[in-house]
Amino acid sequence: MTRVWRVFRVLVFTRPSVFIVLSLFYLLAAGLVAAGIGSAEKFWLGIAVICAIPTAGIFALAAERIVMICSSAGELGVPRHVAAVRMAQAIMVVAFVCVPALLIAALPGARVWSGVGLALAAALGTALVIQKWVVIGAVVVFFVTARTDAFWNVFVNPYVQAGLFVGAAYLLYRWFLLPGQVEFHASLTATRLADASHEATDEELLTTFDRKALRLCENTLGSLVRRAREEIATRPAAAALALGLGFEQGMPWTLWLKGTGLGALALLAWKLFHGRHPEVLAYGVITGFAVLSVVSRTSSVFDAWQRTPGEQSLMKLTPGWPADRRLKHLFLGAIARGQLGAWLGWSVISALGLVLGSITTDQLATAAFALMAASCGCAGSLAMLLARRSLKEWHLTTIYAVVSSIVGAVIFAVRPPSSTYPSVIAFVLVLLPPAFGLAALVLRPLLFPVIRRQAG
Amino acid sequence: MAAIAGEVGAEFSARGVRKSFGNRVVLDGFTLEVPQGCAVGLLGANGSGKTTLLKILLGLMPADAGEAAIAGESSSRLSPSVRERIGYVPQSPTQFGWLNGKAVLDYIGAFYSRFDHDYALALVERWKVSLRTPIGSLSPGQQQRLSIIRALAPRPDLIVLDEPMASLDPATRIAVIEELISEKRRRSFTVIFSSHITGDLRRFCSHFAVLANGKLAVMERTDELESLQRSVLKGDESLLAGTNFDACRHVRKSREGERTVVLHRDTAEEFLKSLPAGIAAATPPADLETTLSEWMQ
Repeated sequence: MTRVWRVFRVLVFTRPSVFIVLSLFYLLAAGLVAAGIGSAEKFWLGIAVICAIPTAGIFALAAERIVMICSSAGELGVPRHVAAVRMAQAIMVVAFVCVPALLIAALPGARVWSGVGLALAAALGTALVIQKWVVIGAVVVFFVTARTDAFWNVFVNPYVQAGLFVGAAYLLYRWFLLPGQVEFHASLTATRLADASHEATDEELLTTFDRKALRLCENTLGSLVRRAREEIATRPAAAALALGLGFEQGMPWTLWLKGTGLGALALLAWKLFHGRHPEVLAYGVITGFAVLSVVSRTSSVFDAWQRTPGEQSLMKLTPGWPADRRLKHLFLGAIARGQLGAWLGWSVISALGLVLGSITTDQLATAAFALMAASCGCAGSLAMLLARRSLKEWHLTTIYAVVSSIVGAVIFAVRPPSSTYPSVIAFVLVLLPPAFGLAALVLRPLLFPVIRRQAG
Repeated sequence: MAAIAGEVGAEFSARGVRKSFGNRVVLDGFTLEVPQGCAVGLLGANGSGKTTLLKILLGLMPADAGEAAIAGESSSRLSPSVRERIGYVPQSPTQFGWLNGKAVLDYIGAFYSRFDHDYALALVERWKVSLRTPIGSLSPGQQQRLSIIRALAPRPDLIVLDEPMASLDPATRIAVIEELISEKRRRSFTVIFSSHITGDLRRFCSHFAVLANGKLAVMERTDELESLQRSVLKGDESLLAGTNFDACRHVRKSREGERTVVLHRDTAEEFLKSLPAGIAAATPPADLETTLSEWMQ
């Protein structure tokens, strides 16, 4: 039990400050219930949403840490580690889903669906780490369709709730499988090095490798290196940074054309088969993919930066490496270029939607705002991290950027049509993270090479 | 200040460097000067702060306090001309895992005006490194060899090696050391060489430095250290406490207090004569590793 408790502590309490901030949401919900501020359906919905935020956060952090600790345990071959992690996961589900759900359900006037809401929040929290597309898809469909009455009616339907519960249970089941999968893959590293193939010389490699694939790989690498060398000869820029950190800096035009074409086709097909009204759902999904692309391209810059402290050390020590000020510009350029494709593709499809009459200008504005929130949130969060003294597992600034962008987008999505203030507040909330990020990046030194501070 | 007598022009210097991670102080007012042309073997227990020190010296990690400099320039603001002279082999050899060896040499080589591709290819040939396999798929040994080649190819004269031998087999370790020795014969360069393998360091390094408790415990010429005798003293605790060891190079009391280990320059007989009656001394033959480990305990 000590072993399980130790794992549980790592999963939940490694960053006490983050846990305390998240716990404040539970206290807020308890305070509102104790004060008896409301008893209508919407009051309990609000309570469920307030409880869902920390639950999602706690499960997201736990998923992140499971990946981290199980990678190490897998490489080291720690016995019975998976069992201990699974037991800790089970305790988390009981502590943060079952118990709060039962408490809410036991209160007079409360609703049984609070359990579904909390399970969904926990599942989405885990998906935030292991299946991002699920979360982003769900969030964007929510934003684009939330203003229709039909949307809310769908969620009070018990069959839909049952479906959501099954979906949440499936995601949580996948989360329970995560420790075993991570440990298995981590253990392969040791297995791979246990044979002699990795010591192959070039001649031996040529006899075993698919020559065509090898040549293709070498040609691609060769052209990337050539472009970087041309830059370095004059002034190191985007290509040199991207090659050194290992992220794709150019616009993947083929992929872009395929994605945009498929999106346009989906919109057309939906119009032909479903008439006008449901098209907004298809448009929501397409916007979801655009948001996913924005997030993943920015994440790829972040991931490349945070996993390459060694490479950055070597790059920084080279005589031609640019000074911090210019490097900051290069990072901002990389973030902007990464998001450009998603914006272009989404714009083409949105224009098509308007021409076909599939979407209204209001829906277009909501979708554009959701995409802008994602862009600003990601860019702001990354800029703030680039200006930190060291990189931790989760920073409060990241949580702030995510929450501020989401809250801004929600306010914009549900704003009353005639009121100006909610729109202004939404804009402020969405634009604040990039403003803070830019200010931090200008004022503070760039964290290059990145210094990671391990949790625990 | 720990400097080497009779030599001037420090290429690497650290003055009062302090660095802590949370509550753990790793470097506590560390001071060191490495003059031009010296090859210093840096030793220390695991976690003693060797890598942290090297990163601070190279300007890759900020110090909490103190100053670090290379060739007279502050480590945090090294000019391109000084960076051109630096060759660095980091502790972890897995760098640029998405590239192959050829791409790494081409990419890194582009930054240096005097990157010697022919020399790099000669070492690749001699040390049997695959240039076409993705680096992530190479063995740690091949990655390590490639890392050393990448660091030596710009013909640097300020070399920092952070445990470069950890993944290498004995034959390759010898080959690397021989390459360094032969290069050193051809041209002068300054080296800080961190390793736990004292035998490798002894073959190449002119000096040894030991890092312990966040400070420089000792820095001395290799031959001076090899000439030290190590005596183990036993006797009454109060008698040992009252004995004057001022002439000795290093004194360490065992945790239980019943033994005292002394490093000195006298012969065993001379040293025994200098001790008060009631103290027994044994002076078994000591190798360099045993001698140096006395400063690490």
